[in-house]
Order: sequence, then C-alpha cells, then structure tokens
Amino acid sequence: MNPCRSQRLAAVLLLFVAGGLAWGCTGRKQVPFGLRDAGQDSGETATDVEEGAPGLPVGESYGPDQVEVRVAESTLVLKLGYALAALRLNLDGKEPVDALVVSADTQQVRLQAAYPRGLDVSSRAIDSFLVPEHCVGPTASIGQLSSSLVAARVEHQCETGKRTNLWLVTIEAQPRVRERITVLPPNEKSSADIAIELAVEDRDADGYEDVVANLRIGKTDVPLAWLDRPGGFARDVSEPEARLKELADGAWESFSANSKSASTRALAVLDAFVALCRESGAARVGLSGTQGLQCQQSPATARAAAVAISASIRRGSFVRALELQRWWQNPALQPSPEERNLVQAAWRKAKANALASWRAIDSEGGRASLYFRDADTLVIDGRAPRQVQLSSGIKTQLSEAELVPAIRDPSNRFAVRGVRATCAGFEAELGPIRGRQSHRAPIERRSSKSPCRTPIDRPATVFEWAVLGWAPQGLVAASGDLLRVVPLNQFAKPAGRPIDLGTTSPLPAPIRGARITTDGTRYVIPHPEGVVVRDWRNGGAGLWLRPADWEKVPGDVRSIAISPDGRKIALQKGSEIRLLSW
Amino acid sequence: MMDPRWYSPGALRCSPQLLLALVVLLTVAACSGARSRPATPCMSDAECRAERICHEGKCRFVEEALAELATPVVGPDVAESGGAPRSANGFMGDAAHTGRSKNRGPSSSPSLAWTYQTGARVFASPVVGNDGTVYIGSLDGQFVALNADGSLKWRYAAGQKIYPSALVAGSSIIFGTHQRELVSLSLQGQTRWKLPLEDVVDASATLGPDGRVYVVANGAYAVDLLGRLHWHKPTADHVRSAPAIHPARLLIIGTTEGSLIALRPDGSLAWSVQLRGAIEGAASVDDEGYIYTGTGRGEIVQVDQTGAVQWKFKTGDEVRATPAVARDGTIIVGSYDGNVYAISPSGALRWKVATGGRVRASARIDADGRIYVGSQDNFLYCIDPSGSVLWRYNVGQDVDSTVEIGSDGTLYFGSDDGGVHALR
Repeated sequence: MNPCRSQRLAAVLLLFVAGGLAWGCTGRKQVPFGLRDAGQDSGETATDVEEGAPGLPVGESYGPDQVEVRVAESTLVLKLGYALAALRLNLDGKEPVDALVVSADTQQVRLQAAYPRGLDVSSRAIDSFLVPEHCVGPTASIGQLSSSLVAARVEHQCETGKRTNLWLVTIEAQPRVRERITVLPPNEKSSADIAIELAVEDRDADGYEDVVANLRIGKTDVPLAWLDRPGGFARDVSEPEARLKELADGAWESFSANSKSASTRALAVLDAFVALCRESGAARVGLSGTQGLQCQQSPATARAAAVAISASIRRGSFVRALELQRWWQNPALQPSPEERNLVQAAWRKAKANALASWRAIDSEGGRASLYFRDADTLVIDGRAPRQVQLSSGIKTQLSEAELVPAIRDPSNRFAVRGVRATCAGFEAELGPIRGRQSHRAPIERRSSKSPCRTPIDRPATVFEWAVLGWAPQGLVAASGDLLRVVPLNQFAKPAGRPIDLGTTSPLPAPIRGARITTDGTRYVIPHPEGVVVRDWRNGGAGLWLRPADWEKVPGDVRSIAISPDGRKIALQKGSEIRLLSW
Repeated sequence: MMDPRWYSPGALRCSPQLLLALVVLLTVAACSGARSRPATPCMSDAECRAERICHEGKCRFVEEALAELATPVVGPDVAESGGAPRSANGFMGDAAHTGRSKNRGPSSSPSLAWTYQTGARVFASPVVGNDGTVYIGSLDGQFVALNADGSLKWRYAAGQKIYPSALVAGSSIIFGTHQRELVSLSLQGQTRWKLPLEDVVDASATLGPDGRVYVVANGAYAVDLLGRLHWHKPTADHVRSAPAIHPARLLIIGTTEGSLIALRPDGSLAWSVQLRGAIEGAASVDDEGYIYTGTGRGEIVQVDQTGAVQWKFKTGDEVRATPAVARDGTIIVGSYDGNVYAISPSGALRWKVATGGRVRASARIDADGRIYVGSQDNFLYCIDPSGSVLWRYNVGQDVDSTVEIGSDGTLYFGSDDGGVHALR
C-alpha cells in the first residue's frame, strides 16, 4: 500500500472516531427528524396541552356543517367544506395554543394546522386526499399519540364497508405527516373485518418510542411497527412475516392433533396475507398512498396453504382443496418439499369412495384423447383411433373422418385445442375442427399487479384452468371450485366478459365436452393421486375416487372423460386406458 | 420538412426501384381486394381460402358475416295500425306496449300442458319466437329457450338475476340482466355480443323503427343490433319502465322519481312531466298517440304527445303494471288494490274486476278482445271485453309475469314458484 495513502486513511478514521465521540459526549440522543430540535420543548408542550386532562389529549369531533373552529381566542373559518375534528395543542411553542384541524368537502379531506395571529387565525395545509368514489359520510377523530405525535383518523362508509385513513403527524412548528395508513373496504378476495389501533412503545429497546399499528384482520392480530431511527421512522420489515410465521407454524404443529383448528389458523394466515401484502393482488392495507405492503416471499403463507389444503382433503372438501392449491401458483408462495409432501400424503390417504373400482380396457403408448360417444361407447383418439363397446369389449377402428374433437361448438365448426398459460393470463386455444389455424380467447386475464417478466406460453396445469365443454353461450371453464362461462360468438370469437357461476347458478346447456355431462351436472377433475367428481346438483360437492391399486398402475393421468350419464369415467394413466366406476 | 428527393417528378421518372415498389404495391392492393370479391359458394370452412369461413353457403370474412347479421330486421307486427311503429316479438307484444296479440287464447278453462321449473321466481314475460320457441329468464340467472313441448332447447347462464322479458328481433334475442349488461344471443343461444352498462337492467328492451334497440338502466341507452352504443341519456334515478315507442318518433320512459320523459331518436329531451309517483311499469301508446302510465300514487294518467296531462284516474293503491290498450281504445290495467280496471279513452271507468290479491302483472288482449292477467291471489284470470270473468286458473303462486299467447292459443307465463307454465 502506498504509505501516503495509508496515512491519509488513518487521519480520516481518527477524525471520524473523534467526531463520533464528540457527538456521543453531548449527552443528547440522536433525534429523529429533528423533532426535539424543532424550536419547542415537546415535553413542555405535552404538559401544557394535558393540563386538566388525564392522559394524552383527545380532540373534538364535529357534526355536519361545522365551518368554524375555535382556536384560543380566535376562530378559524373554513373557506372550503366543513370541519370534522380538531385538536388544540401548542405547535410553535408560543402562546396561545394552536390546532390541528381535519376538514372535508365533497372532493377532498384535508389536514391543516391553525395558528392564532392576533384576532385572526392563519392556517397551513399539511396533507389531503381525494374522497374515494362511492363513499359517503366522513367522520374523524384526532388525538395525541405521544409527546411528539398526533394520530388523526378519517372514516368513510363505502359500498362494501368502511374505509379508514390514518395520519401520523409530528408535533412541531410545521407539522409533517410521518405515515398515512389506509384500510380499504372489503373486496372480492378479502372480506375480513379489519380494525387498526395505533400505540407507542419502545419495540427495539433503544430508548426511543416506536409506533405500532395493531391490525386485527378477522380474529388475527398482526402488528406493524415503525422504529424510531436516526433519519426518521423505518418500518420494521420483519412484519408481517414474523407474525404470519408464528401463526403458520402453530397451525402446522397442531395439524395432526386437530386439523379443524389448524385449518382455521391457516386460513387466518391466508386472509391476513391477502389483506396486507401487495403480492396477493387484493391488499386492503396501504401506506403513503401505495396499496399493500411489499411482503415479497412469504414462506409462512405457503406453509399455511399446505395446512389448509391438507385439512380440506382430510374433511372431504376435495374441490376446495384444489382451489386452495392454486395459492402455490403465486410466485411469492413457494412451498417447501416438506409442505408438498404433506399435501401429497393427504391426497393419498383421502377417504375415497369405497365402491370405486376400475378395469383395464385398452392401452396406448402415447397420449390419447378420450371421449364417450354414448354411455356404452368410448372413443380413443390416439395413434390408431378406435372405439370400444364397453359392454362387449368390441373394438372398432375409426377413420380420421369419423373423429371429432370432444369440445366443439354447437355448429361443429370449431374446437378447443387446449388452455395456455401466457403473459396475458390463461387463454383457450380454439380453431376450426379441421385445419391448423387457431386463435385464443381469454379465460382469466393476468392481474396488472403481477407483471409477467419472462414471456411464457405453456399448457395450463390441472390446478390452473381447464375447459370442460362448449355450450351455445360459450366455453365452460373450471379452476378448483371456480366455474366460469367464457362467452363466444358463433365464430368462436370472444363476445363479452366472462361470467363466474355460483353454486346455485344454473349452468348453460347443452354442453359438449369429454369431462362434463351434457346438462353440466357432473364433471371430472383429474389429479395425480386420483379423480375428483364434482356434482353441481349437490351444491358443487366433490367425490374422491381412488381405487385401492391406484399406485400399481404406473404413470400420470394423461386423459380423462366422463360418460353422458355421469356414472362412468374413462382415464388414461400411463399407457393404460381404464374404466372407473363406483 | 420533407426531403425534396421524395417528391421530385424527376425522381419518379428515373427511379426503377420506385417503379418496382409501385408495382408491388399495386399487386398487394389487388390481392387485398379479396374482401370485396363476391362470396364463393361453399359447404364447409375447408373450402374457403385464407381467413374466410363458410357462412350460410358462402365464403365470407367473419366481419362481413357479423355485419350481415346486424341488418335491422323488423318483426311481423310492423305497423299493425295507425302507422305506429311496432317492435318485433317482445314485452306486451309491440313497441307501443298495447298488449294486443293477433292470436286467440282459450275462452274456456284451460288445463296445464307443461311446466318448466327454474330455481327462483319468474318475473319476466315469456316471448314466443316465430318458430314457436319460448324464451324466458328467471331470477336464478338462467335464460332458457324451450321447445313447444316444454323441453329445454338451450340455457344461457347469466350469473345474475334476469327480470326483463326478451326482445326477439329477427335472428337476435336481446335482454338485460343484473350483471349490468345487455346480452344479444342468436336463436341457437350463441352469444352475439354483450354490452356493459352502468347499472342493472330491470326492464325489457324495445326495438325502434330505426332498427335500434332501446334499453333502460340508469337512463336510456340506444344500441344497434351489432351491440354498438349510440347514445346514453342518464337520468337522475334508476329506470324500471321498458321504453315505449311513440309514432311521433319519441321514446317514452318513466323514472322511479315520477317523471315521464320523452326522448327524440338522437337522445335529446323532447319533454318531461312530473307525475309525483314512482313509475315502475312501462308506458303504453294508443292508436291516437295518447300515452298511458301508472304511478305509485295509484293513478293511471293519460298524457298527450306534447307531454300535457289530459286526465288522471285514481285507483285504490299503487299501479305498477303497464296499461294495455284494447282495439276499441279501452285501457286495461291492474292495481295493487286488487282490481283490474277498464277505463275509456276519456278517463271514465267502464268496469272493474276484483281479484283476491295485488295485480302486478300487465294484461294481454287476444284477437277476440279477451283479457288475460295474473294476480297475486295465485290465479290467472280470463276476462271478456265486457268485464265478465270467463275463467280463472289456480297456479298456486303469485303470477306477476305477463302472459304470452302462442299461435296455437297456448298461454305461457311465469310464477313465483319458479315455474314457466303452459296452459291450453
């Protein structure tokens, strides 16, 4: 090393150490945001404001049409809107006391500071937000949270529930918003009640007060903390994952002893993840105008999903289990091998219908498409297309002209080739029955909140989307317990937004497809460990079919079909084609 | 600024590359003219070149076929009398909502031919297509096409309630749903298009003489048969009254705040009159151009085509049904006071028939003047033009659905038990 350079480095180091010592020897702690350097003694302020009142002061809330707010001997007359709440306190360290005022009009909600100046009151805007659409009746409350912080809460009643906005504001001559927390009303994916309470405590035991937002999501408490650090508040990024992990681990450990309770805990974790994390695509808790916390990977939620799936399988809710298994498609929720094994074991042990039996009827080395021509005739569209008379076992070769795709439109002109997962979402690939042209119809569009970084175009898996059949109205597609109609016109082109069907909604009819009965009352969902039969007449209940010797037949389920009467299933497992009945 | 080399005449004369490009361009232009070539006959898509398909025996591009399907088709009831425009098959039989049918219903007590069971209340009125297919929606979200024997032809799943009756215009079936959209289906049940609206649809669509479909939700919408929105005239509140077409080229709608509104074909307001009672049923128009509507104040009101109120007839309770207009001009309408009223065109009571329940359904009048109307006393009534009850049929549940009369005299209607019934 160059000696001159090393000397310079040593000098810089010495200066740094000396500077640090000098700073430490002043006897002052590091002060975040310069709060206690802001021209006032916050302790005094607190004392002044607290005079005559137990605990920290709480502001006054107003009814509608309040346009004047008394500040010391003067009055603040609002130029826009009406006052919702006000807290009188000393902001600038000078007498008389000032105020923080929350006001609203039809467009905006505002937070402002008011300072008496002689007979007049001058005001200064601190922050504002637009009144959310379809929300009415704002109410507000304001109170001092600590000697240096005030919390102001504004609530709107919106179409689906309450919307809360919380300001965390510094007490200083020119108050600043340190954090704005928003809790949105319920949405389609998150319906849990969310309550939020702010508190101050020294969470990291560094002698400074940190802010804790205790969120109650349904019956689950999740704390979010802002640690008072040099330079300002820093959100404690170990939350919410730490709390979710605690809950998920609890669910995991109790699963073998009490799967019901474990499932409740696991579902609470999933609810909390949806409500809190941006990665869920439906977050309801936001900070400083952005919706959802950046949770990134959440092993805790992936673990909770494993428990919830396994519990669903154990209690026989097979369709629900398939639906829950979709959680693992979220890149933020990758399960560990241990968690995958738990679910796989649950499928293997699932209470299968005792009457389920199967027999081999044919074999095919490559993948074959199966469909029933009628209750007794199975078409095997493979290397050598043929049909099998199930009652007699007689096989008849079929010509190309005699083959038609199972999922085709009512005019026999177009057919479904498959479902593709792409950056646009999940798309049905359609084309003329005879011909190579194809086009696509969206089944589910990718959320704009989960961008596609690498282009993809792959077949959808069994846990994603599958087209069950083609009704006059369009395609009937299924994913877990979701059933959706994708409207298509007579030229197989998309014709309007898809429709999700509830379990009480009648299905379109007639439906043409290998995996669904014509009236849509029963359809089959293949699974590596067996077959789920869903019965729409019984509120969508699922039946798990797994013959005792399922594992003795090597290979995966490659093709599956249900008979028109819904009483027989043909499937290709590995190279064997088998007939399953129950 | 453009480089002068690109537009110098000399450059055009001297550049062989440019000439070559021109030849290529002309060739491409000639080839792309395939769209305007006459369609070649075909039996299947395989016989058609490029992206064309075999549609009705000819190779066409999809867009051409769609445009052809959108050609306005007006049904068989066009200009039945008085030059008034009449819709295709739809609610109350025509675009003026007179309730008249050219068919004859049963004069003596009928019996049940069949019932198709849905999962929820059937409020809509069945509409019979030219081939005898019965079209109707239910509050369980299904819209069905039923064969004349009551068997299911096809079913459309809307996922949300369907209150309105269908409009069968040519080869399109059009109805609104609580999914906040207007749906157009082919006669085979295939989706033609769906138009998202800003509110739920409670009332039936009407075909105007201009070939446009008019529908109400949060105001009135004008849509063509291709599903393209032409205009939307918002109103202060939700509209539940199906638009009626007036011969003076006016669209008549009533709002739940009690305003009767006339719109011109371009959506502009012609007039509005405040009737001080919610208008839940559709207005109807007689052969003289007088407009009739019922109100939540229990009044039946006659309004002329300038919006001037001519008379009001007071009943004992709300009037939510659409007034039917008999061929002699008599207004037939039921009230929540349980009576079915016959009122002369001058506003005088001709007769009234008491039922045992509120009358929400609108009346239909057959070719012989017989009146068919359901009541919430669970009965379907047949009343002769003089006010005598010819028969009544116990359905077992409220009948709020307006009756449709088939060409063979079969009566089709829905009821609160979720049934679609056929009596003959």
